[in-house]
Amino acid sequence: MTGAPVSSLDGRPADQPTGGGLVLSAALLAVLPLVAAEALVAFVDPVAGAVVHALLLWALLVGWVRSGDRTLLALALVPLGRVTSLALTLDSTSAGAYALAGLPLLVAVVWSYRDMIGWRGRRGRPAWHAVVVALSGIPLGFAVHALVDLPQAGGMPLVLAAPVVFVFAGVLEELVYRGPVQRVLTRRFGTVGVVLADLLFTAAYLPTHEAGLILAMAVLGLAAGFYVRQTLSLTPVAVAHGLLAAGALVVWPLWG
Amino acid sequence: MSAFLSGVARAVTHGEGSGWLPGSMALVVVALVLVLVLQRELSRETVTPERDQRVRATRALVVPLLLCALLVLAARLLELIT
Repeated sequence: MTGAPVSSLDGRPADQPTGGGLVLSAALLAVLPLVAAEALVAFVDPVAGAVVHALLLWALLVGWVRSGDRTLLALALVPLGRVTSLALTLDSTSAGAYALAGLPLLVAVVWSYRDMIGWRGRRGRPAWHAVVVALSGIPLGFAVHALVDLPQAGGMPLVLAAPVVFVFAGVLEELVYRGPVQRVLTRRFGTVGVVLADLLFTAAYLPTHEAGLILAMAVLGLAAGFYVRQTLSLTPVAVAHGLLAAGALVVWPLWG
Repeated sequence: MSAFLSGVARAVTHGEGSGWLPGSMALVVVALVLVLVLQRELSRETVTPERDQRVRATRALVVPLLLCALLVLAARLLELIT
């Protein structure tokens, strides 16, 4: 059998853009409404933004059922994450608040993971670059702590707070944005899909109103996206993001 | 999500200093769940097997949304009782 490997999801050749000159406009059409909804949450009104996110979630699910286009199902994780995290927002920045806000999204990602992206975990010793990428989260976390004024995620002992933030503030985002979202977008739009996934990832940081953090996460997200696309390995960037978040929000603030 | 929300978002989603009712986010989530469940029930008779399979795949997102709705409703009830 010859030819490109066939995707397990929709029968198209894996990682091949399916359109022609309309690829970019179709890509933007798929992603821009979600970015606009995030901007609405961040700069206009969070509740109005949540209503738009809810409408987009409904439209994406209906679109998936009618068309069978798995891109729509994967993109639905973005408004789901925003709606549930807004609804479960506590009036605190404790580590427990991160866990509560991220719990429904974690359930959705774990439930749908294998179906949506069709990757299998790799076994064996990790490559040297995977170790370097994973550990890069430690200095990056320190840099973010030093450069950006972030609220400390406390409210529980360090041994509990650090793992909770590691999973819910770091790993979970990578599982969503570099997992199903980037996978379906690159399958559909090629390399442009990495940029689009990063655009959605960056938009999720708009509500922080921290320009430095937003810029840093845009650059790091793009680098992570290309790394995942190149290696098909999500674990190193997920660990790096987890270490970054746990360091910046829990560990480094203890040292002042 | 590590894209933690600003103090403004926290205040608005809790209805302080804004025109929104307290618990308005709960209403958004519950309304969305109801619309999705209603739509599912109304189309049950006419849906093709292929579409029915796709509908089943949406459970991965609808059930967490339902979980969220239950959590916010429980929190709101506790808030009203105490």
